[in-house]
Amino acid sequence: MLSREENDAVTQVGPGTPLGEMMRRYWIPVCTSRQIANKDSAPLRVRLLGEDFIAFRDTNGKVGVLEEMCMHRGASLALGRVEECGIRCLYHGWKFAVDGTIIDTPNHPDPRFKARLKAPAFPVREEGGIIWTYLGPKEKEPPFQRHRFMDAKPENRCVLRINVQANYLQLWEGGCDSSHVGILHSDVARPGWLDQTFKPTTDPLNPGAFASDDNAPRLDLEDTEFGWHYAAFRNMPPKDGVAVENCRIVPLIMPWTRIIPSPNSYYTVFEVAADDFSTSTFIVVDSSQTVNEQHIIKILGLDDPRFYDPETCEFTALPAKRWGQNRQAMQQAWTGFRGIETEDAVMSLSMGPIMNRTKEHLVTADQGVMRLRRRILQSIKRMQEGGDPFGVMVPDLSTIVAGDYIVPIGTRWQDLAPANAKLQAAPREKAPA
Amino acid sequence: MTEIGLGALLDKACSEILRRRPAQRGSRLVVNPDVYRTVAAARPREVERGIPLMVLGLELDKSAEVPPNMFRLAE
Repeated sequence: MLSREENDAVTQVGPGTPLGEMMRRYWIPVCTSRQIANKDSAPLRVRLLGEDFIAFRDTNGKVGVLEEMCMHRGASLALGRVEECGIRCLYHGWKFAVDGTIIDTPNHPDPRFKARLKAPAFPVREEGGIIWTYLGPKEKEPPFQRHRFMDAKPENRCVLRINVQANYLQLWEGGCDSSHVGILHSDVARPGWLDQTFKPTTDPLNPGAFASDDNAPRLDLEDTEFGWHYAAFRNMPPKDGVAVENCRIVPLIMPWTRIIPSPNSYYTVFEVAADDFSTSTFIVVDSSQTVNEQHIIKILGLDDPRFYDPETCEFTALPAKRWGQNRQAMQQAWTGFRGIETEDAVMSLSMGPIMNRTKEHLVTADQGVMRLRRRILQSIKRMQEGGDPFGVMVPDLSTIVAGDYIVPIGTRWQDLAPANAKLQAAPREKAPA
Repeated sequence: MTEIGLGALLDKACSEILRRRPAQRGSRLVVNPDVYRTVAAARPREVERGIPLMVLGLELDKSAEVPPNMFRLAE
């Protein structure tokens, strides 16, 4: 449990809040490249850390991220015309380039005015099928970080975005809560649960595929520069006469990322805080083989239009309709929902927009959740003391290891993921004297 | 903000509980009275009904001898 003050500190992301200032020190996923795929296509409204922005792709294919309100009189630039290398506000025709340069001010033709002012625009990168921006102080801008999926061929990668009306931490906590997987996701983690005959899921792309039906995993955790990582050990029958156990290693990367392994792919998941009450979950699946996006969508349960709209990326489940649960289906299926992301999202939605953590009753199986909160608070403290938040100065995150292994009992799990503890922050370059 | 808040204290206690064999974990988690008051304030209904405050599966107890950022596992 947390005190009320601590609960506020780990959930409030707006401008001026300690957590919000910490999150602004990282490069942030804005939207998928696909959402603004075409030159001069419609601008996209985006909410990040309690602030509103638009993203658009200009005539040359360059992407801009600007504050949503036109700097002139505050109309939404989401309504604007994207044409001839810029976006033009409908109201009075002010036009801006992707870097915020003011191109035109029809009602105030003085050229000196345009030259002096600049619209609030933010640095942009496009990598791995995602548009990224940096919202923090200019002098603190960190190197752009590489993730493993950025090196995958486009056909070996799939990028999805899911907007959920719940605080980011509820979703992220689910990502480091290993003991829920074999229960909530019983239908994929423990097929045969209904008649108590465990048959492992054989789909190599399914992150809920477990080699064991042990529902009380033993956790071991270790702090790292990028955040922390854990190993969840599950009992298994001996293999070839050797006593073995299942070991799943999951890294948690500040300020909202985790990597979940499946037998032949990786799920890199970003729980990007849109504001205190809503989250954009970006799920990037990469593999050494071709990734069938429709299959991933089905695994996640996002092929059901009652819950997910691929055009707006909105996930909808109303409490008045018991979040869309199918009680009839529960005769054969554990949750009455279908798919891993749908089940996870509904659990977070059911907690309310911001969970009141003063009321919870944690047990030792919840240590991942406790460690996550502690690392967030430590990262904020390090920033407030003048340092960099955890991991922000690690330029290459692509060597971080996640994995699911069957190992002889007693195996040191850190030896399976040696790169994780070795990653260190790069020194900041000092300005020349 | 100090690092040693309630959340960090529980994470530390959890590590210590898991480090011990089950028989050596004790049945009470003893904390500073200020920490105890914080937990009690968050669970008024349990206090009202005389239900023991359980934290990490152990009964919460208080002692002024335990500093605010520490805990003790006891029988």
